[in-house]
Amino acid sequence: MAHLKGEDLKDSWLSFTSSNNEPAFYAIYSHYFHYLNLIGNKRSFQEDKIKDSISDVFLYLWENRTNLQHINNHHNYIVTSFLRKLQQKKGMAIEEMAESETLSWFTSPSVEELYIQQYIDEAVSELLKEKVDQLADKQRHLIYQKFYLGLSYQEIAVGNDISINTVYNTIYKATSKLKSLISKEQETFLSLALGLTTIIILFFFQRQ
Amino acid sequence: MQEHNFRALLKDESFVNYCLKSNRRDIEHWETWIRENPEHRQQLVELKQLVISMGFHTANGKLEESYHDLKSRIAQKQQPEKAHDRFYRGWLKYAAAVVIFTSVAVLWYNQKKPDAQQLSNTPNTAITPGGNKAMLTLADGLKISLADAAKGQLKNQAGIIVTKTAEGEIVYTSAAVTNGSAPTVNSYNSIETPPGGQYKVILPDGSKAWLNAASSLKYPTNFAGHERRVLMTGEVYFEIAKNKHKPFLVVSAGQEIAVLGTHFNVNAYTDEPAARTTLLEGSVRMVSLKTKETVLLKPGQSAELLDHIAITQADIDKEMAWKNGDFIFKDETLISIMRKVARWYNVDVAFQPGLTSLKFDGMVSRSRNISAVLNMIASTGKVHFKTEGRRITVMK
Repeated sequence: MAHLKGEDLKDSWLSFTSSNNEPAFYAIYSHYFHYLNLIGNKRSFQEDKIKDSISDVFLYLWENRTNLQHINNHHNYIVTSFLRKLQQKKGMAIEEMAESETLSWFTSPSVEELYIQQYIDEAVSELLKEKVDQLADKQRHLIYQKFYLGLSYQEIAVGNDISINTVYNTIYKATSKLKSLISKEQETFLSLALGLTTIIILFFFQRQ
Repeated sequence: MQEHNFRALLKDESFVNYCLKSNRRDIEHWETWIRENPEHRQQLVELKQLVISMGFHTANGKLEESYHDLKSRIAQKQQPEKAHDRFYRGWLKYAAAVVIFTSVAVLWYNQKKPDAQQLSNTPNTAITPGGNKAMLTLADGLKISLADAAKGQLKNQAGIIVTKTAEGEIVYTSAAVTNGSAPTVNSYNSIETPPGGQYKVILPDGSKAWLNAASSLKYPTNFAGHERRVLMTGEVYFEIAKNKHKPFLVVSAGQEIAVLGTHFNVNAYTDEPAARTTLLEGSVRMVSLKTKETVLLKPGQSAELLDHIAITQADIDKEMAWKNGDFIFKDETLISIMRKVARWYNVDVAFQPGLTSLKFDGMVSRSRNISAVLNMIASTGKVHFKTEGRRITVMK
């Protein structure tokens, strides 16, 4: 899943609005899903409101795609629709979107890029994915907010309506659990490898 | 890497920023630090990889789940474009007529009974959370309502001064006694929190006690003698000042806990199935008053008193959530959850049959109105709540 910058998505936008191009729709969704989560969280909206608003926006986009071909600045359109939906749910008036937010997100390297650069061992990565999926929803959500969206602990505490200590503890526990699972697996892997090697060596000795 | 360092690193915003390459300054700071401390390089790099991986996988998981839900939503919306239309349209006319007739009938009926109590499914937002409330009873029997008292010195009992230092806190100090020496016989004070109350006391030896709702602590004003002995009910979290020569003893509901200097939480509500003591730091010795069974607790352990004392691995976040200002429920039965809610919000709870053992997870701040907690539970769709005054009924 490569990280797409604003310009790349312009093609996807045209493709998706003029035809039923689902991959193009997915490309736009996968970028804006995280971006909208980020700005929703920065404005201290609750998780379920953000989730619903994103779903509403993209449902609308899909159903009305043929009427949206003329839209030049899909970015502003999507973000404004999202903010409007959020504020509707809260019953507030529409605010101005801060331009600086847009730029900072687009320029810093995405976590995907960092991940690809890591050369993380395949097996370890698969194991991690499995274990992460097994974490409780709340744990996964806090980790997403801290280790992907990069929100501050204070912002996370306010957004989830819990104390900052609980945020520290939850993230620490989940990380600690995964850390020990990884080292356990690596130990097992290592001992397995050693065991195998020993058997092979002994086998050769036998032969001779 | 020691556990302590690992935990501190995660708490450090600049370290996480370094992992995510969020800003120039933090990246440079940590790269420099790693260069200057090469012996820690591998551990830090491993942690960074873990952070990035966890972020990556949680993000992907959330994306896939939400996209899947979106596709279902899109598919659902496309279905009604079928042959059912004609049938429905005709039926709708009659349905509308029935609805109008029924609502008129209901309105008319309600008009006739203006005093009938309106039942609402939405929790009463007027039920506010607990706060700093407690009653202090002095040695001479004088009672002081701490919530109403002004800050400052409350009383001087033979050289022991009790002061309200802030909302929710009182401190004991010994004044310089000009005539005679400090009393050698202990006189007792006690502090009691009502449902919906909480309070912090700093005892004459510097030990600290936080009382949860519906709890009490009885203690001497001056710890004369060989030991420091207090009596409690309900739930109290202690941070005991170290004194090797005077063990601190906490007596509650059939157990006696001896400590030297530690941080621990005692949950001894009589309506809970078992008294539970959780140790955070230090060490405590627990004795069952009935069976004389004795156990020694280590940090991170919890001891439950039933017929015997059972030791388990403590879930510290869950046990200490109240002191941090949160409710944390992990696979917890509804009846246990509602006991905590009843104590903090000072309400009564009644259950419809079959609902008490339903289990829930969640966390929410204790400073919110009761509606926040009830909504969180009700949003699972498994139960809903009816609120009448200060009585909550749990229904299917």
